[in-house]
Amino acid sequence: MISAIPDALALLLTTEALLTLVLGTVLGIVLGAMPGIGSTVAVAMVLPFTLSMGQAPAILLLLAVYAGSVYGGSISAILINTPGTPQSAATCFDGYPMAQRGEAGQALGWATIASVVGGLVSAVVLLFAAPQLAALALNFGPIETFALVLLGLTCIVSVSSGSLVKGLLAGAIGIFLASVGGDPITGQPRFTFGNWQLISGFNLLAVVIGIFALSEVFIRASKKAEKVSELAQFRGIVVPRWREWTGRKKNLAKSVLIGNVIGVLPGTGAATAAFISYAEGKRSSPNKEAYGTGEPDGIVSSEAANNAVTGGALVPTMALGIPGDAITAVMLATLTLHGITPGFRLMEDNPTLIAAIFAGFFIINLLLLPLGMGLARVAAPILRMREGFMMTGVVLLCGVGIYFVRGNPFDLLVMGFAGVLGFVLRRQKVPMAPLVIGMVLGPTLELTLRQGLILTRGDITAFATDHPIAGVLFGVTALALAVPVARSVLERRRSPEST
Amino acid sequence: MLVIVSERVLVLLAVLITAGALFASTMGAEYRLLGAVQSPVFFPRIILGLIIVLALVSMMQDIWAQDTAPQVEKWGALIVFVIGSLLFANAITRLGFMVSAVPFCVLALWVFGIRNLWVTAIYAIAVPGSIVFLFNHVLKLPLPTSPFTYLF
Repeated sequence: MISAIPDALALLLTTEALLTLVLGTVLGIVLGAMPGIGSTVAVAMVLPFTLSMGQAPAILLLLAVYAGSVYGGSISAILINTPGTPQSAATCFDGYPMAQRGEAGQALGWATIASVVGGLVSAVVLLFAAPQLAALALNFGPIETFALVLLGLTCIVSVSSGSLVKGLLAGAIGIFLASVGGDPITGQPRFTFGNWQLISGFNLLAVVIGIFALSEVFIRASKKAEKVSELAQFRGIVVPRWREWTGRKKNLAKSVLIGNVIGVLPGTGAATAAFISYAEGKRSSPNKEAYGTGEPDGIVSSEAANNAVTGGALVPTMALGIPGDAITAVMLATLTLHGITPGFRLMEDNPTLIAAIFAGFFIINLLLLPLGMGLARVAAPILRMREGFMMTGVVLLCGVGIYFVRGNPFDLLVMGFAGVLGFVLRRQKVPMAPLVIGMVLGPTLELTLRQGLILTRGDITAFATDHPIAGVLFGVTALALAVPVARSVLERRRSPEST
Repeated sequence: MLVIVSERVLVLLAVLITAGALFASTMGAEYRLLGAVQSPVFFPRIILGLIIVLALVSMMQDIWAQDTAPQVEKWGALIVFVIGSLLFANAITRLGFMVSAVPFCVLALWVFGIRNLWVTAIYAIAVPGSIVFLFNHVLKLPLPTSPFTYLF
């Protein structure tokens, strides 16, 4: 992997590749700054446009939008007290009070430096950890892969905010939707009811864009327009001087570490990392008393952690093909659309591509500094834009994007109906991330289960008894399911209502 | 008194009935020839069974917790917007992007409360026009054109 870096850099240091990185980061920062768009919608909106691109530029564009949007969320969190992305919610606690004191530039300066440091360290973690993890999966057969996918599906438990049962239901619906169309073993059509368009199944991108982007627009159309908070006075980012970091470096290092560790764990996500890091900072920082009143350490805790998650979350995605959350699920869908199957084989067979992706991720995080500083001033007036202009534009771009996937009118209809389905289910507190994870992992789950059953002559117990790696993975899966359930039962017993 | 019929319960009931009907459809003769694992409906049956169980449990939880969906503040506008979006999605390949996008923009801006005619007209022409210009002329990725002219 390391030996492929010079070739990868040669691939990256071309006008096209650099332009892709810059454009993607700019787009990510602007979309991330817009409340209601969020990282998942931003990545989903850009995804179809990558189809006409080569493998490396396509993945790099998405990574740039991803990293840029996570940072961009802090701009609206600080300037209008509305996080552009859920990951930046904790940034509001100290960012907005600083902005109210007339220190918006300083607050964004802390956020920018913390984001860049968090992102850069996570790029290094990705570069070294992903090949190690992928090497573990070298000898995996269908049964081990089935056990691994099952373990990957347990991240549904952690992304199911609100109700675990509804999260599992969404995951099952996603797996079912992925099974519509030709059977992977016999090729016989299933659930097509005579509609030839369904033989190739539902287009994943059309469903993803429908349930995330379009349903969000429907939700906003169903509500009365909310008054946007007043924009704080802002004349550009003020980067904190070196001596201002005295006493804060430990907090920065700890936040970066928390972000990376949480990022690698499937299903936890950047918002969780930001809040855990914020809570830890509030517990251990020398400035803990000032947290919540406009303390730079609070911004550092949140922003360093949420940007550090970006690289960490890509480790299981690139190494094992297991997405940790909705954004990495969308990334995985793009990889497969471009004919890339993540895992050790990919790292062995195409190290230049992987090294280019990892090195590009490092460059993206470096770009956050100059682009963030320049764009924050441009993005600030956009925050005053009326919701209607933004949402109408989102629908137009979704339509264009889906058209370019295959030029198939049926996909546009699938997007529309997925939007309606997403709207209806989200109103019932059914989370959407498990549906996408189910749709991405469903086909592999089915194929490996059936291959495994054919190999063991229908004996499912042999999956665990004859395959020790699978046995261990099943054990970890059981733990991953049992721990949150046990914790929730314990919390319920300790809650005041039950006493 | 327990309220049994609510939006949440009705939606879950719809999921339950749909899953049940799909499960029943797997009992057809076309799937009977192959053995269990080789059968194309072997895996979907497991998943549909799971959906039925989870929808039932979720429904019970919602009835027990008396949990209801939040009120929709603008039902009329929402229905118009959803229909408009579906028509727009369907019209892109039939009428061309520009011809379908202009009326959609007018409708969408109206739904979102933007009633200034000049602003609406400028947005409805300028934004789709810019998209057509970007894709057709800059990126050379042509969007569908209308039956009336090859320009847009």
